[in-house]
Amino acid sequence: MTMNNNVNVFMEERPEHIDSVQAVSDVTVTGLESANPMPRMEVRDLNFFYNKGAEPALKNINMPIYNNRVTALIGPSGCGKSTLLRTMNRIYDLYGTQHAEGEVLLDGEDILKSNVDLNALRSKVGMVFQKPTPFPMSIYDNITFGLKMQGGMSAPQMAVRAKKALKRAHLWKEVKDKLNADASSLSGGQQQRLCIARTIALKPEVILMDEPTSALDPLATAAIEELITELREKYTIVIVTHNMQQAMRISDYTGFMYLGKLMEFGPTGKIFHNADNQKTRDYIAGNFG
Amino acid sequence: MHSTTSALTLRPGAINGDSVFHRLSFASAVLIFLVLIGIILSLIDGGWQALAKFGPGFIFNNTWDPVGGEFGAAAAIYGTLVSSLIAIVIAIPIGLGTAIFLAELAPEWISRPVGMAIELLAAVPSIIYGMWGLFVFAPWFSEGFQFWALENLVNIPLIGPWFDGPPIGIGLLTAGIILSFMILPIITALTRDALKTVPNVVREAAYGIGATPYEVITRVLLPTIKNAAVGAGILGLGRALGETMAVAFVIGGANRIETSLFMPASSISSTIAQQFNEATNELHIASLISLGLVLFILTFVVMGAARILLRKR
Amino acid sequence: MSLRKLKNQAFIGFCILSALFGLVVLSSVLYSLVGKGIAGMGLHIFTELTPGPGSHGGLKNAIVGSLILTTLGIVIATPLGILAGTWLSESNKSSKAAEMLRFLNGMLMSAPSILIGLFVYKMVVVTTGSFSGWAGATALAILALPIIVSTTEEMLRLVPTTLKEAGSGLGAPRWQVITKLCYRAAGPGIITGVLLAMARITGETAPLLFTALNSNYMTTDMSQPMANLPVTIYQYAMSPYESWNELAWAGALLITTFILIINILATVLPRWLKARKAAK
Repeated sequence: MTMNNNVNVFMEERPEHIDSVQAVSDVTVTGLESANPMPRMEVRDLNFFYNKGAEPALKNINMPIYNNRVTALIGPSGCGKSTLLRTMNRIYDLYGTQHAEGEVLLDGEDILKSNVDLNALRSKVGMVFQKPTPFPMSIYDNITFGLKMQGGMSAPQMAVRAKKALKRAHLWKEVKDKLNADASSLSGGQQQRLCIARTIALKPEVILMDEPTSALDPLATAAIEELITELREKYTIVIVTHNMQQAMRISDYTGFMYLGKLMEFGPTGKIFHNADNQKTRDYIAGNFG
Repeated sequence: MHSTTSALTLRPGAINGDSVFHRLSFASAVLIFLVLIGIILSLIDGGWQALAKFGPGFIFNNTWDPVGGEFGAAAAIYGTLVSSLIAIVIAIPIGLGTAIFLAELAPEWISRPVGMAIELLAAVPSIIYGMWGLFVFAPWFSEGFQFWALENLVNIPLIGPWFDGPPIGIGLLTAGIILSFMILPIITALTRDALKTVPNVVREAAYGIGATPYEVITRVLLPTIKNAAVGAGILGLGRALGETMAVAFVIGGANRIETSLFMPASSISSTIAQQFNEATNELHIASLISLGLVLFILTFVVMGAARILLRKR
Repeated sequence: MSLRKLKNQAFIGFCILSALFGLVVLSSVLYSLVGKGIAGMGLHIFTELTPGPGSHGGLKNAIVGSLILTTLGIVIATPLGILAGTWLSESNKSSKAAEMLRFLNGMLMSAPSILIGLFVYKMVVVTTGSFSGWAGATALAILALPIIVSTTEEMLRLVPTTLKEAGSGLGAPRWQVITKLCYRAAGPGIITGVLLAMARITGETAPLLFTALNSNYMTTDMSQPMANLPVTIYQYAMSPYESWNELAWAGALLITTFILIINILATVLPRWLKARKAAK
């Protein structure tokens, strides 16, 4: 709902940009030669609507999400990058009025189809949110929450999985003596790493991150960034960020979004140093947004 | 590439916890509707015999004669309306004054404990007010006010006859006063909360042009919270209309319409409470239930109005 | 200029007097309650049955009966109220059906309690052919229901959407997100609501008059008329017998103390729960 408002506010505030953008017809996909890995997910002709009959908040998006790579989505606020992220695990489905048209493929299967088991989908495509969202329970119960939902695991198996996840999230040392403490007793950065651990405990294929460091201090941010770089070896990661330095530091591919459109997509180095699209170059140069 | 095709698809026919839970919670929500409908239907059904026999005249007839088998609701409706009116006439200014004191005038260390004490008044069950009214307030009221009123107020034109009656402590006026104590906390709490929602800039602007607290509060703050204050008053009225036990103790239980507020009277709810278990013939029971229907309609209209006003804040 | 000042001072004086007025009423009620209640209080209140006219006794059966009726009323109303409140909070804000049920819930909350008594009399007492504990507990449950519904809805609406999204994001079905996450987050607030509902129905007399009735016997048989404190207080207070009046005041003190304790618990318990969680 708030996202919808953002879009509107943005559009009202900056009508002068609309004309210049409409000239840019389709996305420019550049520099994707044979060295590219396999795409894990693929977005095809995606349009997204917050309400029936409303203007689309995403317009005709096409992009690949490469396996074991970090893909960053950048752009001014209200441009639709979070909205795009939220179609990839259909979390928007919680709100009856929102719907997407087109295809989002995960391992070749369209997840937008109506008969998709959303709970199975979301355990394969995990999500980490802007603000840390510890559940009102102990640290250990936070980690095993999703595992219990999945079912089919014994208590010792879960304990092993929880420990692995905490280690991988660089949280094990800090919490191993207080696993039964309430998760809200952790610091903000620890809470966010807990949320990442909670997600990777489910062994997802893809992890979606919606500005995961925007509520954290620089030290905690550095820890998360380091973690993301490591996680890339096992997982496919899509991250929304409004911090361009962050995108440059941690991502392999970058998509620049503007007014609901994907303006340009390509290897991060190319987008930041040698973008094809004038709008992308302006944004990278800090001329707007 | 992983071969996960169809692992993502829902198995048809599997038990869906979401829909079970949704149905359970929806059924519980519908229960509220069913109970309310059930109350209306059972009041109509239970009172049908009397309604059919007396027709609309039931409301206007002030004879209530269980022995002779003639029943009219006028006296009970009159008692209900007048005692509730007395209650809000007393409780609205005092409640408003208390709310202003708590929200605008008193420092935090006074307003907190005093506010809690006023809320405590709301927690005391109505039967306690009834007992207190009968054993403590009524004797005091008789000695301290009624005798004085008989000497000094009776000769005043227009309002004099209100105080021309036996100084026995109980009666319509006493019922109204006890009711006012009971609805005081709710009127205070609602208007105090409304005052607190008024942003401080409004106060600063008004005080900034040299207005006194009296002027700021009556000309700026009260108009701002007008809807909420009126809603609180009506909500208090609704409470007073339906209150049973406190009234049953002190109203006196006489089915008459009298000019004097000192005279014993009866309200709808006190009549039902006092006579229902002793009623032996069916017409008497049906008449009591019909009284209940009248009370339901009265409170429904008043409370509905209060809710709409409070929501439009 | 001085008229302005005078008006202002009169106004402030009136506001202070208003607040004092409420305090005076409260202290007078509490003073007589404690004074007259303690006079009749004693161990016999808890060990002896309610006496016949003019003789001495206690309130044992009424106390036990009230505890049973109140507990049962709350036990019936709590799950139904929480479920209904959940439905309202999960429903779309603009949903017409939810809007109407919310309004009706408000109306049920403000319906005079004596009418609830008449309704249960028609539904339960007339159908089963006798006054009973079940009828009394049903009437009390109907009184408690709307309070629990509205606090549950309010508290669940305060649960941040990010928490729900995080739960769904881990693949938890909606009902698990609600029962395992939202209820836990809203728990302290819901407990307050349930306790306040309990405090409200503990002192209710009117709905018990034609449902549970009253009884001079000690019984736990829910299909029989059941002794209870409020109706006993009413009957004894209205009677001409000195010994009954005394028992009525003792009962009144007892029931008010109980209600005050529940009210205090309702404000303290959630804070304590949160503090304990944070300390761990």
